[in-house]
Amino acid sequence: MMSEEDDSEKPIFFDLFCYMSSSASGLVDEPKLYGPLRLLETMERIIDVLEDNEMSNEFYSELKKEIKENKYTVMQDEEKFIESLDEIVKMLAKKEKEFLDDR
Amino acid sequence: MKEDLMKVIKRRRSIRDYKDKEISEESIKTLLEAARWAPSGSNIQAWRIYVVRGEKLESIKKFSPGLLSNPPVIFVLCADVEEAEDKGGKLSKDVLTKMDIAIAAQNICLQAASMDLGTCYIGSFNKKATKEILELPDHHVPELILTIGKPKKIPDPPKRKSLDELTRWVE
Repeated sequence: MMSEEDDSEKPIFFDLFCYMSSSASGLVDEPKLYGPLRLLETMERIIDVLEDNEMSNEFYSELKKEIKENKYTVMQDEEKFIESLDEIVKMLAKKEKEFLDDR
Repeated sequence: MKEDLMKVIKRRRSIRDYKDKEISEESIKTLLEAARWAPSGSNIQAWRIYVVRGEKLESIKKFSPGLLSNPPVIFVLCADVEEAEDKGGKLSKDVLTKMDIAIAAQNICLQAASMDLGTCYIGSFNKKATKEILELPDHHVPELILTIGKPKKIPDPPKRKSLDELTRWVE
């Protein structure tokens, strides 16, 4: 989605900071569920930066896919959106468990 | 004729994924013409539309959390608050011009739908950053962004409230 690799003069994460600061400013007056949406979008954009810098992995790609597939449900089906938030946490918790087991 | 308009109204969707394809200047001008014929409070027409493409569009996107798609062109609909206040007073400046902008926007969206173009209303954008990037004069206040492009896919219609819930008949 948001590529930073084409602009070598621009410091890494600059575009992300534009997005995050505008989100913070806007969320003061926006619907409550847009907070989780902006956080998910931020995760997706961080993964974009990791991909651009060849620092991503298969798990992050799956995470990004899950976010992309469900983020817009916030405007159509709140229940489904909230379920998808839990699903993403579950994916991360499962991965954390794998890290623990590998120790 | 009535049926045709209703078909367009029902076909319009909020599009959040566009094909990587430019929109012709002729099509853009047709959409602007549709806006020009929108009604406005006291016929003041105190709105201005900035047609934004290329690098400026990409910059505005960075400060627009609600603009998650990849449109080839956006319209930034602004209130001319100076003209609104001069000609229509506080009511026009604070209320009616914003309504006029929404009406003009809907004209654009319906015209676009009739041309198989997609649109989406964007309210989540940073006005100050938009003003800065477009170098807007102080009296042009951005109120709404419309994304425009060829839809990659047409989403299913979201749920609608019933007419019973939305309306009251009074005699």
